[in-house]
Amino acid sequence: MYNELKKPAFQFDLNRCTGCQACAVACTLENELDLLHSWRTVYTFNEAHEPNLPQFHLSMACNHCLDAPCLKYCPALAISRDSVSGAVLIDGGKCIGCKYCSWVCPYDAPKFNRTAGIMEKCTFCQPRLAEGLKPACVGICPTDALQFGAYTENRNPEIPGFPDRPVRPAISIIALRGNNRLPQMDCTPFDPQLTPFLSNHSRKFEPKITLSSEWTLLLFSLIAAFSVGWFAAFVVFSSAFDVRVFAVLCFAGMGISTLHLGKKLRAWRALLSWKHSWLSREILFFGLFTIPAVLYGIGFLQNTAGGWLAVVFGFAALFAMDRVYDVLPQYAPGWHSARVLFTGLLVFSLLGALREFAVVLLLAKGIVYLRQKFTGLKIGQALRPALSVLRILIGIFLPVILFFLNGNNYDYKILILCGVVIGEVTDRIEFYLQLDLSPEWKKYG
Amino acid sequence: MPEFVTACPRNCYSTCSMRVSVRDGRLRMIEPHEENKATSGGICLKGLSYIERVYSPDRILNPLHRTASGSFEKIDWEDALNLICKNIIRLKNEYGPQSILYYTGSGTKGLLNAVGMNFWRLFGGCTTTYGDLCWPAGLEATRLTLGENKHNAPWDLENARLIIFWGKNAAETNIHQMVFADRALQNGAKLVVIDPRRTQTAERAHLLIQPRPGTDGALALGLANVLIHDEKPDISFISRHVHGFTAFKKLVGKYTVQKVSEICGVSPDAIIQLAEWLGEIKPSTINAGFGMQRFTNSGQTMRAMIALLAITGNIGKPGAGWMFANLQSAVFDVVKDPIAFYPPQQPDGVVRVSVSTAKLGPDMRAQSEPPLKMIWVERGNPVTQNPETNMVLKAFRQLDFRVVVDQFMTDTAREADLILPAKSMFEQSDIIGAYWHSYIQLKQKLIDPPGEVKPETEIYYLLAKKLGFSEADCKDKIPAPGDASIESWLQERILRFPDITLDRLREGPVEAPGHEAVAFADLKFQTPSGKIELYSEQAARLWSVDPLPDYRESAESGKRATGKNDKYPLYFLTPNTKNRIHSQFNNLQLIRRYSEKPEILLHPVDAAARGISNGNPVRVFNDRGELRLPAKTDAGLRPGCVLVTNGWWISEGGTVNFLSAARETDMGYGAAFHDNRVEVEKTINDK
Repeated sequence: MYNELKKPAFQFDLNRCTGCQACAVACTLENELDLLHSWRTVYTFNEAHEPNLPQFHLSMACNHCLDAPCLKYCPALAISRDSVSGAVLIDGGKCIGCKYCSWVCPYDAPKFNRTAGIMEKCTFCQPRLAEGLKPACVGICPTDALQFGAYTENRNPEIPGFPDRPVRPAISIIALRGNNRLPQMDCTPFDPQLTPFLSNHSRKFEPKITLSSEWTLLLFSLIAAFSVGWFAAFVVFSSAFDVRVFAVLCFAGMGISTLHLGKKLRAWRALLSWKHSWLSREILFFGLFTIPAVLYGIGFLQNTAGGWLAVVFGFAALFAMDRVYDVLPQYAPGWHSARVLFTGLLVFSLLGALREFAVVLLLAKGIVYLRQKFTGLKIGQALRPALSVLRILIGIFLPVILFFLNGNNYDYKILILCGVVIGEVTDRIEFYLQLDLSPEWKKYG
Repeated sequence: MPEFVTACPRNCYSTCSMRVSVRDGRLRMIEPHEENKATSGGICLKGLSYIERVYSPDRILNPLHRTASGSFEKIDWEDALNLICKNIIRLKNEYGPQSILYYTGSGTKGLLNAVGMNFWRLFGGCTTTYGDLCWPAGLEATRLTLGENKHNAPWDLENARLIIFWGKNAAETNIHQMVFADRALQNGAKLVVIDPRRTQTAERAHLLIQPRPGTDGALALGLANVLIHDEKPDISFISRHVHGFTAFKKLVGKYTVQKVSEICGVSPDAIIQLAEWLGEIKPSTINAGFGMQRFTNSGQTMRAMIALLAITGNIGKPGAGWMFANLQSAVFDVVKDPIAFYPPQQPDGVVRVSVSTAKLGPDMRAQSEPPLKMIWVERGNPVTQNPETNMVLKAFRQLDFRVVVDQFMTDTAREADLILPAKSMFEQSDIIGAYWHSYIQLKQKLIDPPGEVKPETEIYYLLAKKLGFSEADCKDKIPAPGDASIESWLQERILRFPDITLDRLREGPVEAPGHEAVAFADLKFQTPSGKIELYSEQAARLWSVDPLPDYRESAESGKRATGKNDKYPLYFLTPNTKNRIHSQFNNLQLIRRYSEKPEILLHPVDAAARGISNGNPVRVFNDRGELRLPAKTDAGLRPGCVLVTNGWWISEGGTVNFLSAARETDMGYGAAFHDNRVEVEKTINDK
């Protein structure tokens, strides 16, 4: 049985790595990957040779963490730990290609194989281990910078560029020795006025989440929020409801959400990890919401308790949906204005004629939105003025003003609803745009 | 999975021993061989990329003939050989065999490379080149000073207390050496890098000195000045083993710290600091690179550098010495480099050795009686790699018939009338030496050549047959096709070394017979005086240089130009990178993923002065040619220096040799193509 104490781990010596890339190429060859891809990446820091900083490299694949977030959060139970080597392995036959493991991994280890539609990553070279060999990257490293040894409880807190996360990664990094921090140099002192000419050389990271790749999720989350809010208003306040439109909306939402999967036919597997993964729970709860809600809507379910139960599952689904993002390593959750739970509540109060509550929610969202805008600017996020104007003027001011003018006017109601939809969509778009999962690498680039 | 031993035959310090696994007749993976103590750490990305190189869809697998429209069509070997025979017989009859230039580069090592010249001699002669692109000035300087080109075993570096990487970026060009440097550092050694740029190797250094390119000789003399002034020289070593110290001492008196600081553009403090370390820390090793000796003054530069070790007694001891070239494994050569590539004192009337490799373009055009009418290129890519590409192209295009043997469609192959597919290192066995460690190794045949590929030896054999030569004519000169014949040919060559057998070599590398782990430990020097010669009458006689290693400004030095004519103020550095061996490898996807396109590095000061920002398209130019590339700023460069790495093909974005000059080094018939200045300007369109 797998023994934590005997668990193998990578050892990486910053003093020895010259950034030669042999480890990454060895990975490609040993695992017979496409020639342009590797499960291992060498990150170079200070490529532009800023005079006061050392240049160094960090070679990273999977660190087979003892508290591996990928293993914990995989909705399809496709990731497991090898009982002998302790390696964290993705089962290609079970993976649904949802890429969630790559979102939760602080080290960018799982890679999406477009051809196969599944996630893949470093396996410690299982076949080589079985033959008593070291992983290919370790065996190839010409300077012995990358080695294979026993796991030690070491979180490498002092290593610049290395994401320090409490996941117990199986890697220990040897820091730069004094002489390797910076040579005594005899060159012209660097004039800070030249900084614009020393433009950023940091490598272009392929963003893990982009609007274009995840628009299906954006759509699904908003559909979920609106349908839960709408149904709740119907159950609680008997607001206007059209079960055909509602059913189409819910099932379309679920259908759309499977579009981003690499293996769409395996979508059902996403439910399997309901015990551990918010992603599974989100889908489970949404299913438990939709089915009784539709039955209730068509009158098949007569008992009001059934409707109430669906409402509870609906909001639980929205809560789970927010939690999916809360666990991402580089994302400080806080109270983002685009949380779908709030959107659901807003729609509920809007349609349920809880006008005052809706106004309070809208204003609260506005305040949270502005706050995160300011914090974002401080850490260098884009301003996106057009989206901000849409969000604030159309999404908040317009509905609030119309409420005060005459919230009961039918035309106004339509306008209010449109404003809210535009505002929420805009907010959610910005939420995805801000989900940048590689800032810790960039910082030293 | 079956595993075989082989060795990498590239022009590279490391010359790695490899274990190659083969599955279903296909190469699968390459790993280091632990018995090569110099390279047991691992295989570099180029070595690994052989897996792609052998099976690349871009590989040339058939003879290709240029059609009237200029494109290439596949032809069979029979037609290809007939075409060659028709041309060489015609030229021999019309102009004589010396109208054919047989040109070989450093693309692959091996004893079988000799077969080509055997064929041309059998044919009746040819013209060929003298000199070498790579390292002659340093080889000759070392030969003149120490008598032989050899140095301590690679792993001995870990015994050094002071390591100077002088113009050598081992982290990229000799990565395995960094292992020994790291061990020395862990034992408390000091590491100094002297290079105009902040290299990957410099990241390990205590001190980085960035002199103006071409002034290393002055720097060495200045260091000697401080050492002598501070009475640091090892007087007892000098009196017993050094010739010409008194004259040398007088010479360096002129090179005061102030003067040298002005010549080199290095602070006096840095010079004094390094001199102090050289005087106090022992043993010291200087690792001299090749790039710095491609200037018109560089033979003398290298002599001045060796002098620093001579006067501090750092020769013939563990951890000490001059690491430039280790020819201890060249046991099969009757005459070693650099003498081997000098023109013969008495021409034999058969092979005309009259074209300088450094001046290939102009010299090809200058040949007369007979003029050149045909070229046969093998193991080389002279269009990309020899100085003054525009001149080389002009010379190529004046010929009647061009044959190029290569694996890929290089810039030179594109100029050919007939391209012959070349074997890869896994497709014919051969024996190779090295120039950093002293192992003899077998580059073993593991797979059959793909497609219609034939090893060069077989091409020559078939040509000889077609020309009517008999088995007896070819005997010992051109082995017949087939593995058995190749092995017995190799067997002949190793007969006189009982420790070297093919079976033994199939297991792993073997140290060259008589190799010395500590070179010159006997303090015997094969120089006229039997001592280390700081004063060399031979140097003066052979090369018309000062018998002392005095400093002269290089041909394109900024100190030579007059202010108003200084059209090209920037020194153009063209170093090698980890991604290529000269012009090989970058066509592969495994390499391209790290090295996509050529770019020019500029210091932000020089970029700002020209209004250039990172990523801007620029034009790099001088009177010889131009390159158009994107700019990238690098604050680690010495201001006034710009850099494009060597080896890019024209078809990939441009060779640096469009800008280099066809000039020889002051000694050894080397190419002084790093002696090169340019200007850079921003272009509006990257057209």
